[in-house]
Amino acid sequence: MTNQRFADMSEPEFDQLLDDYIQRTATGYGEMPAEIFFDLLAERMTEQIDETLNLSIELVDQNLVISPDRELGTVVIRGNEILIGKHRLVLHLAT
Amino acid sequence: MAQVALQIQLPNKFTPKHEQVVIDYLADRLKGKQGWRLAVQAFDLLDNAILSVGASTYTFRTVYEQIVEPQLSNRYLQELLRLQDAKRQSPELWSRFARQIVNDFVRLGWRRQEIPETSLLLSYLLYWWGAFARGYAFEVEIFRDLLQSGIQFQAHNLLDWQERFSPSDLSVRGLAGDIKTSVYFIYIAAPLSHDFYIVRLLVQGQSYTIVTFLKPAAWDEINGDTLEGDLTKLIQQLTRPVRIRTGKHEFVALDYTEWKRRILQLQGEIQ
Repeated sequence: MTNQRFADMSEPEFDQLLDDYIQRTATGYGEMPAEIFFDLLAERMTEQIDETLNLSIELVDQNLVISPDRELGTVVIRGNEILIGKHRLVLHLAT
Repeated sequence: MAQVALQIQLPNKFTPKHEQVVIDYLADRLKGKQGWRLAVQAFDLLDNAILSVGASTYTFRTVYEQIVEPQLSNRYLQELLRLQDAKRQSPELWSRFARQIVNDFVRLGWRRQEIPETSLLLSYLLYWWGAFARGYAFEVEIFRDLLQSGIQFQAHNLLDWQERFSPSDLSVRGLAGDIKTSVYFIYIAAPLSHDFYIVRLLVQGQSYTIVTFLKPAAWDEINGDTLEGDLTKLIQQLTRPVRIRTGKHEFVALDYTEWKRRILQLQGEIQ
């Protein structure tokens, strides 16, 4: 790995880095080498912990209310919203 | 013109090693599994870096999702769909849009030599633009190939904003599928929520191969023998369907051309 940091780079050096990168993307697909892909895939699949959270949904005064069957640290439920990490899911009743 | 006040706060877990690997990624110097793992982690962490510009505050993710993508995506997709040969011509197209991202970044006054983190923001935007643009180019390539091959399928409409964000990219025999580049697939790989995935990989640094991954229930539709395999050796075993069990996950992988042949067989179009 390089020891270089952006702070060490002059403006022309950074321009050149970007220019070369964009030039290269114009001639290829930027895919991950297959052997690395499968290694990382195996790691991510092994890391993943499956946890099931059962949600009940009720209609209260025309508003959807979601109730989980237990607390799960990474999932926050507020009215009709579910917050998972940086994602916010908002449920609406289809008309 | 007065420079707008600008500040960037990186997540605590983002280390100098992550910054170095971002530079390696741009310079095409990523080495081995360790390099790629760190690069995937670095761009993941940068999602939550904070840009304060004037009175507004954004995460890097919202800069990409609220500023870059809405401005470029429709125009890019319209041009992409007009290409005669998406596979061959799309790299030039997405790189032209990448240059526009760089130019807009400078025009907004966000390129600041004295704030090195602005280079990280620009690198982040280019990385995700690449994932977006390459992903859709690959999707168009597959849709056209399926059509030409005689596979019956329903695809979402890329020019319809709501359909573009539909849960799956296509449906074949009632099964929901997703088409992904290798880099993006790593981010969404676990748990596998679709019935099948079509993924493009780089083999031995020079040629590309396309693999179809199916959940066991989706494979049951095709209903053929499988070889018990190992994910780390899969690329050598793809001459026939391979069943992989890893952690709590199980799926069947096979060469895309062979998957198409079996779907055509199910459609009754070949013996």
